[in-house]
Amino acid sequence: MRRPTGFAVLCGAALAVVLLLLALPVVAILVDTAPAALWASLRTRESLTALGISFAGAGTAVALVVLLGTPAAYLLATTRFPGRTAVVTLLELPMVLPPAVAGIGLLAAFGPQGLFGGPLADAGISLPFTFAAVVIALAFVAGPFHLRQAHSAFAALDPALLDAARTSGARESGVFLRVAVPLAAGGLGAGATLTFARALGEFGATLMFAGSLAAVTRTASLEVYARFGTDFPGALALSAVLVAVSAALLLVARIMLGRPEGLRAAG
Amino acid sequence: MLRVDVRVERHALALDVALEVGPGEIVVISGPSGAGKSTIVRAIAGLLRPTAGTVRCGERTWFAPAGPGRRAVDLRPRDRRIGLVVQEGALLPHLSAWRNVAFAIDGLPRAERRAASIDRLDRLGLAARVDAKPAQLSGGERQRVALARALARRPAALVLDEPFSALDAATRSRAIDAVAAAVRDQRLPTVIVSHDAGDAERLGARTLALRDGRLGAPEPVQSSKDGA
Repeated sequence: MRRPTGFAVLCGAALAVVLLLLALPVVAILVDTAPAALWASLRTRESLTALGISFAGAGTAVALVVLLGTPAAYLLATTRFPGRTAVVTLLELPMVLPPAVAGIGLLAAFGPQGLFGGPLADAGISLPFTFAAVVIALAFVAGPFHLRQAHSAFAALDPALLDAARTSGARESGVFLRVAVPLAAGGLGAGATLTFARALGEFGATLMFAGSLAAVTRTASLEVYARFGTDFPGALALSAVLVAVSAALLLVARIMLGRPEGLRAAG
Repeated sequence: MLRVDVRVERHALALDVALEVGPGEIVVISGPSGAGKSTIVRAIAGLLRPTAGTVRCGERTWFAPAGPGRRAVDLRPRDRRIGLVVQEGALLPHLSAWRNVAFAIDGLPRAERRAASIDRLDRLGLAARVDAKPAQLSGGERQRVALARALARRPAALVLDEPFSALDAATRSRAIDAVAAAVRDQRLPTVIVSHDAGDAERLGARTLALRDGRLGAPEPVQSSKDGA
């Protein structure tokens, strides 16, 4: 066997440091408290309610994002129009916005003094500090993950397959539903999964736009924050759940992306 | 009768193509790669909009510009009733062979679609392969499934783009026979794009060469400059 080169050793060292930096806090959450104590503090009403709000909010946000984002991404991936790059950039922007900026933006749009605040108030709707606000904040921050993933999944489809469906008599809606969506299913599933994972972890925009009202808008991540001064084991327990769920979701997304059916190489 | 008279300008390509194919007639278009053969196919199928000209099939107009007292016509691919087979078949990889064929059949209840699809495949010697996915089929089998799918639409014209190029000699002659039989039985005007002069001969087809953006008589072995 050959001896590893100096460069390989250097890369290995870098990997070790990266692993330590990224994995240590996660591991610490899981080993810092005894499992029995974690379990006990997890079974409190507040923890379970917060987890419920998180899952319901993230689930609703993902449903909205998938329903609207999938056809939108298909359009962006399969047509060329002026300003397309600008549109794509705009749609991906929330991914890199500071959470506080996202929160301010949502308030400026849908808050009482916001752009749509007036019309919403006239209709008797007040969004901030409601469960709906949680869903909007999660969809805003996490939606781009699905849009991006769906966009690349559709862009990677062999156009000859879509054309074959057209000349075989499919309507444009049929080309989308019966060919593009099934063939891009791996990427779409991964996008939805990543969106759900990101939504579960959302904190800043939710706090600013929806607040942290116990049993209404307090998601699991907000509950962790609310507790860490007074009930550290409780905060750890919730964090451990979020770590486990996020890890599982990432794994699922990886597996889904491993299905290359229908890409350009397919015959 | 398929009548094509179109001008296509795209990127560096300029085509001026006139073509008439009678019922049951096969016209083979040959020409070097990059000459625009596939562009002609796409224009006929409605996958690409010609710059000008007309495409007609039988009594129907598939493409025509607006004229005095007449609106422009540009039928979608699905409304042209064209049977199209492209290189490698372009079968839908997530569907079994019979579902690929059934994809092109409309107006039949589900159960009958399956029976009709299997019948189509049977006629091309694929009865044993109806449940196989495209990835499990050989190149020749894929090509025959694609042909079955194209014919399942009861097309008004058949257009095949390099349908035999990926096949070995034995499979090739079987596929050619299958095409010839289908064209004969259904009296379809048929256009085949091929770079192999042997195909045209075996099909008893008229050959046109695409040169400098125009279709003309094929060059004899010793080239003479009398194309268009």
